Amino acid sequence: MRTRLIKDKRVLLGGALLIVTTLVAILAPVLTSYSPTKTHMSDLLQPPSLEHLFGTDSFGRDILSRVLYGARISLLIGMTSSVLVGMIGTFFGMIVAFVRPLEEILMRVLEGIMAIPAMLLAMIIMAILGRGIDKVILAFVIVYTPQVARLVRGEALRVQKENYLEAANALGASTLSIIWRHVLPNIVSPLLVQTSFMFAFAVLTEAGLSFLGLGVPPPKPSLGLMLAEARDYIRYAPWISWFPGFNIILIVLSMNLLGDGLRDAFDPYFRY
Amino acid sequence: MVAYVMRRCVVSMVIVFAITTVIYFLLQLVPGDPAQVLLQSAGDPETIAALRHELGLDRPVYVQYFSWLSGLLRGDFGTSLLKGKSVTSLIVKCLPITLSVAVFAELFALYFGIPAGCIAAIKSRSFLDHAFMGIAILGVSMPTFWLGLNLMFLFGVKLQVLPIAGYVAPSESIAEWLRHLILPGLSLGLMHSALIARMTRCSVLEQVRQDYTRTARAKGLPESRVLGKHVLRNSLAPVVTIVGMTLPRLLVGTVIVETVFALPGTGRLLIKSIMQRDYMIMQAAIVLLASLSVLSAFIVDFIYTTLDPRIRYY
Repeated sequence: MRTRLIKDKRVLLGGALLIVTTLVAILAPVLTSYSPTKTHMSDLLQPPSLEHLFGTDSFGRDILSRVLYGARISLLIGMTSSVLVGMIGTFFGMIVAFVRPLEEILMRVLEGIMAIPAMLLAMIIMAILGRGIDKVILAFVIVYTPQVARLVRGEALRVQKENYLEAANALGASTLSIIWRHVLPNIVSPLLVQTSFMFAFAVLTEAGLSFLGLGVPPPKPSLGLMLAEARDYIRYAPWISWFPGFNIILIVLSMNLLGDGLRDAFDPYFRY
Repeated sequence: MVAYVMRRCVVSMVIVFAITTVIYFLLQLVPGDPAQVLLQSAGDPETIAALRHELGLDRPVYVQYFSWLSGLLRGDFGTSLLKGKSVTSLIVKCLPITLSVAVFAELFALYFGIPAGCIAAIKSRSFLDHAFMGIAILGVSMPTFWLGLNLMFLFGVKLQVLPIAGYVAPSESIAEWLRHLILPGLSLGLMHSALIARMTRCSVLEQVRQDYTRTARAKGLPESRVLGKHVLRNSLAPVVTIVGMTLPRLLVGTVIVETVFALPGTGRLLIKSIMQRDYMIMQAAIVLLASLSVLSAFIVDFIYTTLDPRIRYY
């Protein structure tokens, strides 16, 4: 399987894109000397030039610097949200699969959350919590945890029917030991695939919420917020929207490519 | 069949009721007091208390809920706090715009997605396959609003062939109505067409490998008939599933597209109401969008059972 992963061009391309975008975001203070939030009233809406490679926005702020720092926020939200959703979803999925008395009630709650369209629920939660990076992460975790929990439950129930689990039961292994030693290692692959797609979803959700004015508050350089500001200047300064958009696409594309490649490597049925 | 439809109707109504209840109580947690919003911090405590009494906000939450619910069942969403107008009349004005955008987007998605997926599967591993699937993965990675902004710039600002904002009702001019819906529909539909193309490709590839396809070819049927009559029909069931699953996302996506193209639809009404803390509109718009999502799932279920007779009406 490792060979299959290494040979898969999508995994290589996705991995390379992710490494480059992450490195560029981490090295933002080295790569640009401009502050992402400092306004320069003498440099309003400047087109891309040698001085400002991506141009400036309506407050005279350097777009390159805002895009690099904005990518940090997107990556932070993507990474934290997907890891949290993966962990909390696994926890609830295991409870539903192994603690039978709780199965019915927990499943109904999870299905109830899933019945409300994800973006709509995220908007309601943001309206309640107010704007902020931590609140976007919390909203994402509440909205998407049921999906991971359902996946984990399904996989855990599949593994429960295997002979080796029956053997472990017969040998008197405790439920916790069964989950840790037998179930978790067998569901890691689909969980990894789902988590990589969750990363992509989280970046898109943050951008969407910020674009609507419900996500990251200004003057923080969120990529979605930059696109919301770009809307008013699309006639005169279209470059304001180009570069934040490219950065979102690069991050989301890298995770989608990785997810696709991982899924095909783990599950040859999907391979072509 | 009738029993099945009735049963699904009842289930959908229960889901809508549950969602409505959850949303109502969730929105009670939104910070701020409608009376204070209305007085815009200008009122003293007595005035605020009097207004709260007048609006019925001093009653217990469950009493307010049942009063709101009874209005809802009569098609009365209450009165907008800030606009002073009936929420139902505002919704009735906005809903056709949202539905037009959603239907346009879905049509675009199907029109581009199904042929692209079929061609990619039939020409599997060819340049066309890689090109279409490359575009598809790029499509699912692209934020709708970014695509919208760039389509707006290209067709509205540079080429000046399509309007960049606003809406014209079909009663005024059908041609202008269509022209105003092309860019919003495309922005929202292209991402969904990418999802549909990927699903169609997978589904067609699976059907092409089936025994009945080999039999159809072995008995000398022309390729167009094998693909058109046998493979495509059987491939459509999973595609309908993905359409059903993505319809709610598409409906909620109208919120973003309406913001980009300044369309006065339900989504834009919702965002404005969240910003202005206009609770009655907020509740109505959210309940409506959520209910439409459930309704769309119900319709897709129905189409699914018609497409695939193997599915019994339990």
